[in-house]
Amino acid sequence: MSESQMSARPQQSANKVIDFAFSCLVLSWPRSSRDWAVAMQSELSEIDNPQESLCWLAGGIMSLGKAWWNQLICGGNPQEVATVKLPGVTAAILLVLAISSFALPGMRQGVVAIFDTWNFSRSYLSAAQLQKMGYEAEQNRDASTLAFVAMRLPANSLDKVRWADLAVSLDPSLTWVYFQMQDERQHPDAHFSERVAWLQKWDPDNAIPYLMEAQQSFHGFASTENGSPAQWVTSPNDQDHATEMAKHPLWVAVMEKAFRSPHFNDYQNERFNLNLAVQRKFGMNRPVDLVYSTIAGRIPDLLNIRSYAKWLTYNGVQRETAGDNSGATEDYWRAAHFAQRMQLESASDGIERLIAISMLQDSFQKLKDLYERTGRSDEARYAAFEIENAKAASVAFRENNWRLAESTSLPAWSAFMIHISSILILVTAVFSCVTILWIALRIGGAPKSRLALHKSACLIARIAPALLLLSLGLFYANYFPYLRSFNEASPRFAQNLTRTFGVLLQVPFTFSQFWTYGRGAVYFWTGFLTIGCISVLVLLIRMPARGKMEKQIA
Amino acid sequence: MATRLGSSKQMRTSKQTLALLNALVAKPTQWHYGYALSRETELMSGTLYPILMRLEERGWLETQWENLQETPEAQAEGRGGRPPRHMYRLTAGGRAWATEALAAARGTSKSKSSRATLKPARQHARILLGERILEQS
Repeated sequence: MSESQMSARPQQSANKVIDFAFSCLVLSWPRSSRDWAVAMQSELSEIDNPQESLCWLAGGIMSLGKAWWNQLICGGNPQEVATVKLPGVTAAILLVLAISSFALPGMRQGVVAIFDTWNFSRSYLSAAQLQKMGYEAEQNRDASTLAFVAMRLPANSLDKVRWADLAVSLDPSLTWVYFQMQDERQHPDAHFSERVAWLQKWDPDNAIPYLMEAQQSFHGFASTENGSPAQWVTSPNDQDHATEMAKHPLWVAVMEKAFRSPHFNDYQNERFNLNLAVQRKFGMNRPVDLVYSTIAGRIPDLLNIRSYAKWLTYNGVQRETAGDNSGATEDYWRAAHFAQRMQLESASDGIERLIAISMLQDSFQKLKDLYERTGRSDEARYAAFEIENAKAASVAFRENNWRLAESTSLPAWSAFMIHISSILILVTAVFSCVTILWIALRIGGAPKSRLALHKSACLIARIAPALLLLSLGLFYANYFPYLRSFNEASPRFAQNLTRTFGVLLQVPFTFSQFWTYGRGAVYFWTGFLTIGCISVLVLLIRMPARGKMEKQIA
Repeated sequence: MATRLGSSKQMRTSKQTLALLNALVAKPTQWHYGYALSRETELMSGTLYPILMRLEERGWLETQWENLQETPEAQAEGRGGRPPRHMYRLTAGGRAWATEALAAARGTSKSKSSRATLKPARQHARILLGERILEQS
């Protein structure tokens, strides 16, 4: 097709759009070489095929990238020194606005929370800081702070137990702290039994203090006589299992007390309340710390509980065989009652609830079989109903957890945006400060030296404050729901808090794994090194050329 | 677009640059348009224009905006309302350099093709040598 024929063709709407896009491209072209962009655009009038026009536009975009690259590396025309535009009042106002946005308490808290997640620290209080807090609390006779410190200090700290004792003596309502601070599996304490006895006395209707006592001996014999404690539950030979257990009547007696207790409270709420109260008292305002502390709450040994429940049902079967149906019924019911209490009083997404449901199914199955054999059809129907209930609860638990796992990917976008905007805040803040400092130092200096860098600095100083303010706005808008979740934190909403912030914590871990493990790490580091090497090489090659160019013009 | 530097610094003569030089040298006195050059050389605009820019920067390319009113062809074709186009041709220095670069490129391609014919012969010799070693062992 000749040029005259092409010029005669009607303008297609697609070409108009492309022409408009090219006009935008021309505007964003570096001023020093903008004529070339106009030259490229003028050729569009000769192209009648929209596909070719699109290719021409794509070429324009590529050339724009190259033009900007040349502009940044080689700099513009050094004769243009007079046209360099310094950042003005607008940039200053934007910067002041950005800085003043930190007056919002939520903004400060959010930024601190994100930096906490980047540190991967589980607790921002070091052992030395905790020690200091403990000494001050000891002087002030501050029971809650002492209990807080005792819970967090490492097991080998000499003051850990002393401060816990002092906290309990000052405020006996904190006696539960012995359960949340003690880990008898790692470091058996000489005075452990004494403290468990205090806890049993303070909270006699709770199964937990008895479980504490029992699990200490359980770990003693289960791990030495028959492999790991897990084998006690998974062992196919119930008889061997029962024979071993019968050798430890003390453990059996304490577990019986635990299973007969009317309550099952593992003091998670008390732990959460204490953490929140102390954090607010000291103005710590650190959501990540509270979340980790909540997640790290101690639960009783579930293998110990499972072993005893299994032993009870085994004994029931033996009694049934011996014709002692009432004794068997009593054993099955004891396991079932404990499982019901455990199910009712544990967290809805906790592993304790899943174990309780499994125990319920086992014990009611035995009861159903027994009732059916003895012709007690009403009771058998009730047991069957409980089995169905337990099955439904098990399905609901799994679905709920599955939904939770799925839901983490939904709010992950907001978490992702928060992290991205935090990076932008950091980068733009650094650029704003560095470029403003650069410009301030150059005032009155030689105007022609390092012109390209000066031009870039001026450009960045004009743009960076606006981007900083934008990033801060983006950050606050995305962080606001998290802020509300933290402000409304209470034991009732503890799960919401851990789930909400769990998503925020997940992002740095996912990314750290991305560039430290697997295929992603290879791609990331290869790309990073390649781009880095190319950039350094180009800079090395082009920089002398720029210097030469400036000299020639001078 | 005045020439910024009359630098005689060597420019990398890539395959694309050579294709463009070939097109420009073919009709050295005639003005060329960007789109026509793109079609002739089969170069994308994203490749073509940066080369043109570099040539112009080194003083090897002359550029000029089309004057529509003065061009009788344009008036005949009814180009009213159309933007003026940019035109290119090699300068005298550019022509000399382009001829030299094209000749050098032809020389290199000849030596490359002679090396290419030697390659299979060498491979064949290696195979024969390998077979002999195997027989001896």
